[in-house]
Amino acid sequence: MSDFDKLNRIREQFNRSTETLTNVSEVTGESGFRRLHILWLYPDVLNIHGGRGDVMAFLHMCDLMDIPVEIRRLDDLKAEADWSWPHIVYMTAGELKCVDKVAAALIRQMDGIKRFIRRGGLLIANGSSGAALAKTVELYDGSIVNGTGLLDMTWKERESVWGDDIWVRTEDGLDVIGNQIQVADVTLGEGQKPFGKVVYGRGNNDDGVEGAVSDGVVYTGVLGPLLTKNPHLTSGLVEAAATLAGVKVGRKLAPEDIEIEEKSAEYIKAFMKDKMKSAGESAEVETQVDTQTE
Amino acid sequence: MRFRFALLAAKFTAWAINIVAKGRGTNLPGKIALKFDPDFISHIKGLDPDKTIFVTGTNGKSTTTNLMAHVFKKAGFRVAVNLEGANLIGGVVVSLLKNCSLSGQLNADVVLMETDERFLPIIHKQLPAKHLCITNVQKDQVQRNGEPEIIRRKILSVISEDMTVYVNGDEPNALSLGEKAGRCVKYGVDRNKSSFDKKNDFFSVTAPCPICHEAIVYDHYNIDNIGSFHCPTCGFGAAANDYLATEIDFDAKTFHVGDKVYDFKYSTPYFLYCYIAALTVASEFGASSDVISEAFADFALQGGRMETVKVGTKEIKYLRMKQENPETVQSALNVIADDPTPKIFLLGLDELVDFDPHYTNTFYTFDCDFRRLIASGIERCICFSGTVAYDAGLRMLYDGFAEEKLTVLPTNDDKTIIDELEKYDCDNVYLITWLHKYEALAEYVKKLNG
Repeated sequence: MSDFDKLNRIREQFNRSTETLTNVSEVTGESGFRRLHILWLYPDVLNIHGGRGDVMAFLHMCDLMDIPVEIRRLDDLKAEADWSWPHIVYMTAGELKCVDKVAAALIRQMDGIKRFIRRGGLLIANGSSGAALAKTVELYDGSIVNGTGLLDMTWKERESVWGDDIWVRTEDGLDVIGNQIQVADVTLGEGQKPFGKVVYGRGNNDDGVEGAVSDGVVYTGVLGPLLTKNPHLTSGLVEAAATLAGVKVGRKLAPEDIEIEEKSAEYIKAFMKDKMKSAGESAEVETQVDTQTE
Repeated sequence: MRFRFALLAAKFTAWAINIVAKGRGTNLPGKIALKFDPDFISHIKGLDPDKTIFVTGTNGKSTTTNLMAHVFKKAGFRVAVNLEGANLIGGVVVSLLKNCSLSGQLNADVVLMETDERFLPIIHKQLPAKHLCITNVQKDQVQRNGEPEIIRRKILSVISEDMTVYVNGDEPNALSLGEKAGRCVKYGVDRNKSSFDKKNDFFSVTAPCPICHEAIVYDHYNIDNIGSFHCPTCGFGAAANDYLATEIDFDAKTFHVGDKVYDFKYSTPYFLYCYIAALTVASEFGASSDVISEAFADFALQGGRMETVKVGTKEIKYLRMKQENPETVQSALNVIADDPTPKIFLLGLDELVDFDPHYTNTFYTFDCDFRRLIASGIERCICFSGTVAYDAGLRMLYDGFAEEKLTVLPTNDDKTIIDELEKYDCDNVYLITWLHKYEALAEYVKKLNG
């Protein structure tokens, strides 16, 4: 049984005007404990592909693992975030057109962002919001938008959209599955580590890798929502951030917590395997998939 | 000569298809006409861009086109229209063919075409309509459309200073498209008892302003992502609508525009936008308010808003949704939520099979809010699909549905689905799934019923 009751009880207690949400009333543990701080950056602007589900997944995972968490949202692009507060900063998927304003807002706060990363913070961007972390983004009309350059990558808007399932394996051997709606090709600079290797799907540029990652900064185009569909990734992120922040992790994620997500993954991986087979991809690929899974 | 041959070949094909499969909509005659004469449309005599209206946008264009055609006909206009929803270039040609004489003379006072928003630039190149009605530009079919801005740009590319556009003034992307047109007529719906806000949900999101890309503020919503809005940064969105539906009474099924009362049989907020769009364009083309009122009163939508099929004592009410389109899913959820009686909810999301590669997107359901539906008394939710049944179930759980009332069937097998349904006493059943799955289920039930 994956208990979603806590999430929905918490959801009833908080609203847009509170601008912050916490599960401290629901998680076990003594009072006065430290909280994991998650900042949800620009959700009104970065509003597509069900991205808000990722933030719900953060809350749900913290409920499951008895991690006291506080989530704040910052919607105003002109406002200055308090970068000393969060342990995780998350940007949900947004439209590529918004990269100009989002990148400009981040560049303006770069000193704070760098301090945040230096003290072990984790900045994650999902979908096209990752463009703001690139060095440059070339849009459909040839115009160039300067990104933050937090990751050594360049983006170029595609003439057509590419949509498909995707299956990525990270360096740590974690399988991440979901969908990819790619409106821009992503080229990594030499030495820039990807988020993972592509097992199935297109990835950054049909080049066998997906996303980009460096110390404390992550971009992945895997949608799903990413964190609802990949509970092991979600639990890894909150546990790592909580540990670094000195926040108590009440319990480990148990298999029965995520039975439904695991079942979902089983069917979706089988679907991708079938596509690989019907595309005539080699037995080598199939072997690779089979040995890499489970 | 080429045109004449194309015309005759296409008309003959249309006639032959009508003999073989009467009433079956097809683009084939249009394809044949264009094959023999790629400039076929421009060779039609009497085709006047000043009397040509395109209806485009993400949602509501078929119903709006149907309503408009009904009003125009009631007003005495001869209308060339593609009512069958064939909204690509071939479908437009077929509709024009039907209204052409053998000499290629158009016998219509008004040409009214629903046009696919993605193919609008191609269609407009052949038929440069001077009137464009834009219903909305929303999240939809992301595998081909990507993001709403991509579609907004496609529509924008055809708009010029010699055009009149009729835009939904309550939808930011549609409204933004009016700025480039020579004339922009705005329509909208006043706040009403179905209006809502999302301030009670920490996880709710609005949208980026299409002009300045900063966050929009909605004062209220009439339907998801459509309502009274403004951009606090650039001021976009504050202007009044030229045609505004007011004093909306969903029970009496009436609304006002000015002093005039109009009936709307399909009394949901979603349909109301179709009515006010049709009223706006018809009024601007000279239809009187009396004629429009009369037309609205006897308008009947092809297929209705809800289809039903009986299994024993159970009535399955099927609500259509569009693929990867959160607004249509939300509209369907809202209709079900409006029924406070106990119910079974069948949710059949599935992999998307429109074109290769087929894929398993269900993320758009996280752009919807299932909580009002869940609070409306679902005794059992059955999620079925060969691939994504567990994802659908998970979506229900995230919005607070009790796991013990959830059945996940990882199959599309009709018998398994109906057998599971029959385990429960409740006769009030709602179904959301793709049209092809509903048709398969209905066919199975028909055989079952003998």
